[in-house]
Amino acid sequence: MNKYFFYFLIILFLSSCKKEGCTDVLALNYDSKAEIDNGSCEYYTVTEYNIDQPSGFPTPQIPIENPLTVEGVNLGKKLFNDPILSVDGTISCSSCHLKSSNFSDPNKTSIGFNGLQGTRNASIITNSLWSNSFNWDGSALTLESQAFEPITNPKEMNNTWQNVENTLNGNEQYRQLFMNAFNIDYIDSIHVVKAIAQFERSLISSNSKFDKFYRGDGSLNSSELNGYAIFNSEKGDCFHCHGTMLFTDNLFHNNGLDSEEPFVDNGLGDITNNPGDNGKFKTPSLRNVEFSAPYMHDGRFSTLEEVVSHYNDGGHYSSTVDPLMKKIGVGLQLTNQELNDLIAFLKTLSDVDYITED
Amino acid sequence: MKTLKLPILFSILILFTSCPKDEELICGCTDDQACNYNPNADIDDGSCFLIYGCTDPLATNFDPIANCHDSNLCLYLKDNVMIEFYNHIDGTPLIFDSFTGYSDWFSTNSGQNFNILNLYYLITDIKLSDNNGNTLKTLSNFHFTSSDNENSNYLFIPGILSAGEYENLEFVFGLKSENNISNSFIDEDFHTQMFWPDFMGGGYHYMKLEGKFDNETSFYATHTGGLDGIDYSLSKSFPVNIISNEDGSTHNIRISMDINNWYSNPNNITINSDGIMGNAELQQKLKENGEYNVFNVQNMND
Repeated sequence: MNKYFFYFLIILFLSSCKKEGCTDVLALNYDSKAEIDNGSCEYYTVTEYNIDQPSGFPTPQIPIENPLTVEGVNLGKKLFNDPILSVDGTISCSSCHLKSSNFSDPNKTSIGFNGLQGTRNASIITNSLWSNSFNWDGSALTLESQAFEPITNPKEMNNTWQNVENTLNGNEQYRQLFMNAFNIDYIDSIHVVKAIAQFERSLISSNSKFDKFYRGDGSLNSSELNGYAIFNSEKGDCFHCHGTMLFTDNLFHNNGLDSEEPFVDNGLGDITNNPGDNGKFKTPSLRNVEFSAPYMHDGRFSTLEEVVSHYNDGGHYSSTVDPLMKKIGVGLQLTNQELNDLIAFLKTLSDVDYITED
Repeated sequence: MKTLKLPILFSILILFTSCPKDEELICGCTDDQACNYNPNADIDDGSCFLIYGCTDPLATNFDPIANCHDSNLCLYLKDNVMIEFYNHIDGTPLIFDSFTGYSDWFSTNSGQNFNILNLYYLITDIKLSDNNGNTLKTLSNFHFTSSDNENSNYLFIPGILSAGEYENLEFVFGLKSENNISNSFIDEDFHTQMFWPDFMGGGYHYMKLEGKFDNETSFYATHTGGLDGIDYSLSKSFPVNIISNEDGSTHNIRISMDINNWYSNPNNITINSDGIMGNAELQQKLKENGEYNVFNVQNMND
């Protein structure tokens, strides 16, 4: 008995000398000096970001390597609005993708670093969760790869990724936020674009007057209903490209803007190197179209009236014009009342809460 | 020592499991997990078969160790079916040119010139049946063919045909009313491209055939579908006489569409640039032409 008691005392003595703490190397508070685990380990956890699947929308495709988390979306939002990403700290993503403009630019073309101007109207980001190609010419196939580009574009942020990484890693708050969102010690470009893409995927607009009508929670007035009928029949023939609850076919078309060839901007053709794709641009969604002026890839139309006039007059022939621009130069020949009704319907796609709430 | 142990153990086992010569007791397999379980047996005689598997030497997963046959476990090298969707204009194949799209000009039977820039269509309920109209095998519930994607002209269905005779191929051009419901293909790639507005009855286009007519600057769009809920789909059946010997071979079937005949036989249709989706009379005429002589099916292995 005495012998065992002696051993017990020795063990007690030895163990009391050892430092207690978290001994799991995988834990956030791993203590390399601790020898006895006292159950205090804290592990990296993230909170799943839930998406409310809007009625009539397809099942969203989210890359498995970048699931949406509350931490990631919030970090992405901060990065999106922070001019820290540009070389001189003056331009953020939100400088050209304004929420009040449906995450597009109210200017015809955007002004970037040193006052330099791009050649296209900034693309809308709303509901990009349901898109599989990005930019007017489809040059990016994921939001992550899209986000790589503006940072180093000399007409946009004109920065280098090395500089972005250095700046962010020198910022204690960002280091903590990236740790929380991705469990990383060193902030790299891949995680910057991942966070931005997560935020962009969270930008969902699905509560317009039309949505309420579609769900049976509201009604449209007679002018809007007449516009709905024109939109959804071959009288206006808007639906073939701007159809379904997404109000886009996510495809590329030449909608007869220009007759001169070569085109000033080849759009998709420069990406595919297929002359049959010259002059084709991605169909934008018409959700919040009231807020996203100016219109077309080059922002040439400043009002919805100008847009519907383009289709009503029939546009211009070119070798790649879409066959759905059936009556080139003749157009839809809608009356002024019908054009007004069509515009009234387009304005039912406005989701004011989405545009205004923080 | 080791070599001696096994025979001894084996003898002891035999001794215990051998059936006593007592007529009161029934010997057999008493393990209810065995495939030769004898519920009347009193004494287990070691005859239980417990290894389940496929014991058919003709199956691809024949198991030589198995002693319990379970036909559900057998896999046969069933025959494959390859369907080609072959589009032509009066015998001239519509050549897919991914670089510039279709640009050749053709002439309808009534002499009108046209070309084809886009061709998208849905074929549904593709089945093999016998001569009494009984479905023997459903090959595919739906298939979307797109001129933007050459691969979509082919549908390969592996390991589908067990041994037997398959006399006819049946399919529906477009969608029957009961299947033509808005958003029912919401997660398919063709959803945004083929949907048919609720305003005109909902569902999906059966076909979008687009191009130029008469001259370079006139465009047509022959879009067919179920207008206002009226069913203009076509149910077709053609003899194919496929015999599967379950030897893993591929049966090549060609479903051909003669685009020219959409515009003639029995109804002559003049192509123009007016939209036809809301035109019930033209939808009916196109249906009649489709019934008459647009489609054909060939067993290419013949």
